[in-house]
Amino acid sequence: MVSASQPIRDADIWWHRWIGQEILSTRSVAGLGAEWAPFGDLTWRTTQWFPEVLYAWLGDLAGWSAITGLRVLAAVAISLVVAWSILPGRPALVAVPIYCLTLLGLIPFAVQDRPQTLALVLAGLLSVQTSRWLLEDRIPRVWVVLLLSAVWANLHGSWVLVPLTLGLLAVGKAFSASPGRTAILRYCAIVLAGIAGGFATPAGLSSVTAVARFSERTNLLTEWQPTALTALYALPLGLSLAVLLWAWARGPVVPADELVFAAGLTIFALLANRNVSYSLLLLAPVVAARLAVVYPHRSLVGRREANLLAVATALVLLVGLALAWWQHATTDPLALAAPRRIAALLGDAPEPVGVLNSYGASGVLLEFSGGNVQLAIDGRADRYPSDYSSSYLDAVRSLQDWQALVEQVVPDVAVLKRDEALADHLQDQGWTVTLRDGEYLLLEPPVDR
Amino acid sequence: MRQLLSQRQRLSWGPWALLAVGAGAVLLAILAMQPIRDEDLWWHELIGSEILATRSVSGLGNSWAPLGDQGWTTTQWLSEVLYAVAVAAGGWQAVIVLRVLVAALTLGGLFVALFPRNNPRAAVVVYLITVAGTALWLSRDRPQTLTLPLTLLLAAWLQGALTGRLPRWYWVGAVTLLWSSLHGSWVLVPAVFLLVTLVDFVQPLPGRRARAAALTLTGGLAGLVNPAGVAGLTAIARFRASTGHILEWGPTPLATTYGVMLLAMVLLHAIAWARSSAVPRDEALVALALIALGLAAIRNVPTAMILLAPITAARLTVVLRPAPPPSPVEERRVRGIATAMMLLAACFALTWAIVAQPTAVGPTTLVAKLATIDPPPRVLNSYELGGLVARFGPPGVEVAIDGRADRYPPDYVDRYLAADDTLRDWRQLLDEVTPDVALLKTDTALARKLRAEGWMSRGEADGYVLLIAP
Repeated sequence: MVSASQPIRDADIWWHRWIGQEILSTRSVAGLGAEWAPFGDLTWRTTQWFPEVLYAWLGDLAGWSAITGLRVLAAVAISLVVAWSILPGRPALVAVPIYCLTLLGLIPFAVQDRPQTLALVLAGLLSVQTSRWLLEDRIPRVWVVLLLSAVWANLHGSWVLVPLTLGLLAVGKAFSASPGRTAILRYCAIVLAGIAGGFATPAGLSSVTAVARFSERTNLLTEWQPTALTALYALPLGLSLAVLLWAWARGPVVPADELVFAAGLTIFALLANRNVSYSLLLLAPVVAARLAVVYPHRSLVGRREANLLAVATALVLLVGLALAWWQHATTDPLALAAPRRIAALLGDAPEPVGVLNSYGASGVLLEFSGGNVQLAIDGRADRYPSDYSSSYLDAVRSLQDWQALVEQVVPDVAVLKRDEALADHLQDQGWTVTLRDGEYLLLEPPVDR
Repeated sequence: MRQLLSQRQRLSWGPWALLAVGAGAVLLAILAMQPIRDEDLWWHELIGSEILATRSVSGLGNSWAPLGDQGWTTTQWLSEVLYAVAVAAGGWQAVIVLRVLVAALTLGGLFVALFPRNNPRAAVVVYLITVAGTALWLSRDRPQTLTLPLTLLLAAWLQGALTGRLPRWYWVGAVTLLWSSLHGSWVLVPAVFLLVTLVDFVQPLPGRRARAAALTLTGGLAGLVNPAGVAGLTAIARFRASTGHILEWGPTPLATTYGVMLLAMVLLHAIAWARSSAVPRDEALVALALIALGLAAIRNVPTAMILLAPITAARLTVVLRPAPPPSPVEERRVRGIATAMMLLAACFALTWAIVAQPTAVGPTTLVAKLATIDPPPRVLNSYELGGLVARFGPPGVEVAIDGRADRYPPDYVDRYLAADDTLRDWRQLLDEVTPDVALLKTDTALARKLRAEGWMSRGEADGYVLLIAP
């Protein structure tokens, strides 16, 4: 219901859809979006072609509601896969709160209209595999890992988590149990399968190096900034870790592999905001299992009571689904899309308009102008050289070498936020505000420029 | 564990103890060579002088900061007086000497808290992590640093409380009274005893709950018996409201030296808990609360680490195999080397502090140029430069803002910083402040904007620019 009631918040979905349409028409994953974004790497290659095609297809088929509908479906799938990894065989008293805590950390923050959300479903499946290996010594099958990794690599660059997480587990197992040669060979095969699967994508090697390219441009992306555990989005993870520490303190001696696994995932979560949801998903079964060791009490229910509970559960699910459908049907998916009025005005221009734009406005300008823009920068952070994006932000936010940027871009108009320093300064330089759209301004240069 | 916590052993002088002493000695020497970095020290010293002159802790600093609350009351009068007296007696060198003395007291206290009762390997790891995590604060000349030795005392009380041993009420009262005069963080004393009271509900020990509750009350009341009165208790709330943009009140970033050290401490704790069985509930809850305290704000990091250190070392001691004691000969040799190292470091640090002329970090040359302007100007300054301008500017100079965040309405601080960063409503700010000059960071939007508006540069230094109004 929470997921269904949200309009589109992700600033990148707009260009993802455009890229998807371009892939469908050109049958290529390289050299995309060069027409409406003339700066940056013109041979840029997408690492998430499948969701982009899916968004394009769904958008053409049934409009934006279909895209938000996909998000709701993803939320349901994530809820189910988290339930699968946490609930079976564990006392409800400990498993249900951990399940709720995990969903609380995932649904409101991580489930958005973006390829990463679809990858979270696979992260849930990975969590099932890793928890079985860690807690029950059931080693994943090589073909399962290969398939998981291959599918994931076509959805999102975060597929590298498959070999990384399994590698972390293999190291932990090697530490704790002194496995034989055969077991070590099997561990290696699993990790290699995770790596090999990632190459089964049209992006090829580019999907492996994507993480490095993005991490060089973290100034553009707040979600690549280090995580503060006390921030709202990270609180569920912080609480999960506190519960795990409590369970370790109160329970028997913990095996070394569990320590290595939990420490590795915690460090991974702390490195960047966007890692929090993955770590939360992967740690959840471990937290539930460890807590179940400390509090193993089960409440016994009779047959009649169990039947009543099953009926009640079904009713809650049905009512929930009905309300979610109603929420989805009555929510305007474009309620937060800004600056739409400015974009529509640019769309009416006789030829494509060169725009010096705020970083976050690029997708909406592209989508709602019907592609009738040439953007100075857009949300594809890895497409621009890091010095270009840094100097761009410095000019827009603190006026550093702003003249050089304007001379380089030669914009027909500027679309900037009111609280960006360049918006104020351009007005003093004779640029005029021709339209105010929420927090954005459309600025036109002086005639004699 | 409980036996271990309550057991005080004789310190065995092995190589681990020597390593800790060596690290402490090196740090003392480094601290003595540091310039004065804390930008708030300048106004602390001015406020201290004003307290000495007026015998009042209210309505201070109005002559050089005409905007903001004219009835502002300081919550750290004793520290400010201490800095003022030190500077009056021995110049800025005395501040460095004070810094070295406080650091020596903190490092020595930490050593005594960790080594005599724990496995030396556990003690040295925890000691080094704590020292690395608090080094930044030890190098800063600020009231909070003066309270670090008191935090060690509180850590010892907290560790004792976990075994049911609580301090006498008059000690708690006296220490809180002193602490509340030094810095607003005195609320930690009643907070810690309140925590002990609460955890006793899940892990009861005979008589602990009632005594801890009484100590909570004692600490709370004693903290109010200082000239700042209730203002001392409400200071945290006032700061929280005014400091949304102030870095050290923000959540602790873990990609910093102190963040990594806090994380290392948590990791050590996690390993110790994971490798031992059935840790008492009170210890687990107290440690989790301290970890949360450390993560909540940067300025809590040294406090949380010092309070955690003895608990972490004791728990690690349970997990580690006992270390073989050093032979008497080895012990004598190690003790001798350690004493020599400490003496050498103390001599070096004090000599350096006295002989070397301490330098201030910041655009002092630009501030000196303010004296050439007649009449003394009103300055639109970067937030962190308020104290420097007020202390070293010409008599009669006025700043638009200074480091006393709780003295200004929260919306004023927000508007001020937003105008500097993003030019939001910068003209209204200028109308409100009516500055004659601006002393701003060179790369801020406002500095560039003022230049474009015709403000003339009178020089740049240390990343700042002095601009004269057209």
